[in-house]
Amino acid sequence: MFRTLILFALVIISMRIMGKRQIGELQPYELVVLIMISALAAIPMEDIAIPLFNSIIPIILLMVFQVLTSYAAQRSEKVRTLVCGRPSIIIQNGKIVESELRNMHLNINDLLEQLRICGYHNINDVEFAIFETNGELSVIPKSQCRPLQPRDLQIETKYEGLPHPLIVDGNVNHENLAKIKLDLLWLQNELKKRGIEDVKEVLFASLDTEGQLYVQRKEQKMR
Amino acid sequence: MRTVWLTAAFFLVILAGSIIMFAYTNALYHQLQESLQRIHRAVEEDDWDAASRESEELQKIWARTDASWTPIMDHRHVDQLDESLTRVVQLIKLRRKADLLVEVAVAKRLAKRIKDTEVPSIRNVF
Repeated sequence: MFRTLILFALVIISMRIMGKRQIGELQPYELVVLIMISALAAIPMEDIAIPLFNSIIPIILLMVFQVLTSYAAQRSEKVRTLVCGRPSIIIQNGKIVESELRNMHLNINDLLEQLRICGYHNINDVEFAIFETNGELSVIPKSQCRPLQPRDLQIETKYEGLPHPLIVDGNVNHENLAKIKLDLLWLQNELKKRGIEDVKEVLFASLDTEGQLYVQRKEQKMR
Repeated sequence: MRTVWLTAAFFLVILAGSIIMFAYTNALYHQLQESLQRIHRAVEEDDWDAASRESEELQKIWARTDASWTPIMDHRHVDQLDESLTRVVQLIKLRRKADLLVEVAVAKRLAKRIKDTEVPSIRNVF
């Protein structure tokens, strides 16, 4: 049990140090590191004859190499190309680039499937399609097929910032309250106006940039 | 940038730790081999009192070696060596010369195998 706990903590710390990318956004080398760390952590959990150090040191080393490779890739275009590869333009000016399709070991059906996942059911609507280095497909539609933007109609829009969560599961977020220069008294008054006496009754409350307070009460417990 | 420095520091600590551990493992291995060699010589000369005194020294060396090898070496290999050294100590008490000489040779080979797995060589890398 202690071995499992130690390895669990180590893997969590390593993942936190390595960054916050999701599985689908990983670069190939990051995916390799992730798979290797999983295997290294799993084996000594079940085999107590293997010293824990045999896993701890490779996990730390993989984390070190991953961080240093990421740093080098950030600083150097050459390193970035070497470890991450280059994006591949699969559709250029509305035409499928067959050579790139072959290089990527993709067939037309795979491409159509990816386009459908991206919301483009007709290849004729696509101006550019690019396979990014993390395996995601980016699609740039033809100008006549892209969604209408307010600026197309020359409509002025207001600034939309992030709403600030003020109460989460009955707990007041004092940091956010201070950030928007309000206090607990104001919050309690606002809740009273909505017939709520105690913040503990609130499941979630947030304030948007327009000054609108969203409040949702907790469900009453069944007795 | 802080993370990069932190991970670089981790790397240097691991590197320095590995070099120190390797040197310490080597030193313990040599102590163990020399002790086994002294037992071998004493038994060949039928000097059982000297062999008995050396077996006490061997147990002290092994206690230190076991404590430092077990956390970093394959436990199965360390256990095999532990069993072999236990047999060496018992065979000295029983004064069984032929069996003892065989067991000393086995213990020497087991200790060498453990030490060899730590050597940074091409054979070990692959």
